[in-house]
Amino acid sequence: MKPRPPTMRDKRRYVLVRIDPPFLEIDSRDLYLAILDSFTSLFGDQHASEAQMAVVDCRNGHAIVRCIRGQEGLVEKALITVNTVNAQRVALRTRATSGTMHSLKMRIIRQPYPGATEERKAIFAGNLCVANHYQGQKVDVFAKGFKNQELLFLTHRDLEE
Amino acid sequence: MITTDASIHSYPEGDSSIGRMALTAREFGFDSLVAIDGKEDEIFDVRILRGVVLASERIQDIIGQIRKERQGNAIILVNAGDYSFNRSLLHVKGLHIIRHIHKTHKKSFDHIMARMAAERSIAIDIDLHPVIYLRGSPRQKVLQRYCDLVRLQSRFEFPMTLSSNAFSILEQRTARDMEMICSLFGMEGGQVKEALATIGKICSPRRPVQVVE
Repeated sequence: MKPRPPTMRDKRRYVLVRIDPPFLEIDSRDLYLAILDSFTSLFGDQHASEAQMAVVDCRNGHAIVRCIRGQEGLVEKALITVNTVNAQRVALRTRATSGTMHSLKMRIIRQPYPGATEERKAIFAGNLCVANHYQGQKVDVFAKGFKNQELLFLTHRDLEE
Repeated sequence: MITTDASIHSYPEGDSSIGRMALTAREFGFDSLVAIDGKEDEIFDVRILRGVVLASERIQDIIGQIRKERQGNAIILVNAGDYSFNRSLLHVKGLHIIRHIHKTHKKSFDHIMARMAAERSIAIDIDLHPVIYLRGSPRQKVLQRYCDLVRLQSRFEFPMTLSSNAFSILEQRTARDMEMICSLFGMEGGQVKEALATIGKICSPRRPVQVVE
């Protein structure tokens, strides 16, 4: 089949999304299913088919979601309501919308998230835990809960020396 | 303008420390937070206000609890109940916010109470947690209630607050996200900005001019 000429193709928009917590490894297909589920639940099948959503890139705490131009507002609203991907708690934060993937990739390079991280031991509530230290004040601590490991979001000030 | 998230729950109730939530709130465009059962503080240039939630079905208990809390600068929030309870609440002095209207019967807040809330400057809270976390018919009911509240608000102009009711930084949303979510039930940009600034007005209410010297 001959490809459709560019002037006859639908215009697209690309939405850059930051994934919190950034160290989670999320498959782009799982992310797509989670976003589609939220979108369908919020706006129905008709709008979902019109938006023609796809996750075109998902790595290093970022994802790029593609949609048809004019539907990016609905996609952003659906992204806000995504709270789990493959039974993992996440939050998707929209960073930018653009007409090209290149400009979004440049944005990731210029302003990487979360920056340098370092895995170190930390003491919290009298227990020695594994912690992800980010640039600045943020620390994510893996503490032992009642049943399984618990992820706590803290700052350097909350840790014991 | 002060932009406030009207209720968050920090560690140990949630999984994020108050410092981390304040840091996230600053990134997200807020300059103050109401921490339920927290303490007043200023962390990373974000003002933390103490919030107290009173949940009782008897109005006498609520009045007693408000009397106890009146000495501090706490923001007092009360969970809504049935029609008569809500109507009595609007006569209680010292109450700032009525929350969880979406959990009550659809006739538990009407135009008469909307006018009373406007006269007494008692805010009605819009909790965005159910809009984000519920799916299907329960979310539809919440959206319906909020749509009705917004219609009453634009007619009677009673104060409104917006809260993420977040137990984690993963549940906190940016001010822009809140605006987008609010557009789902017909709340416009100006109304959202006003709702985010309501806590600031509660903390420094308008008083008659005083002659200092």
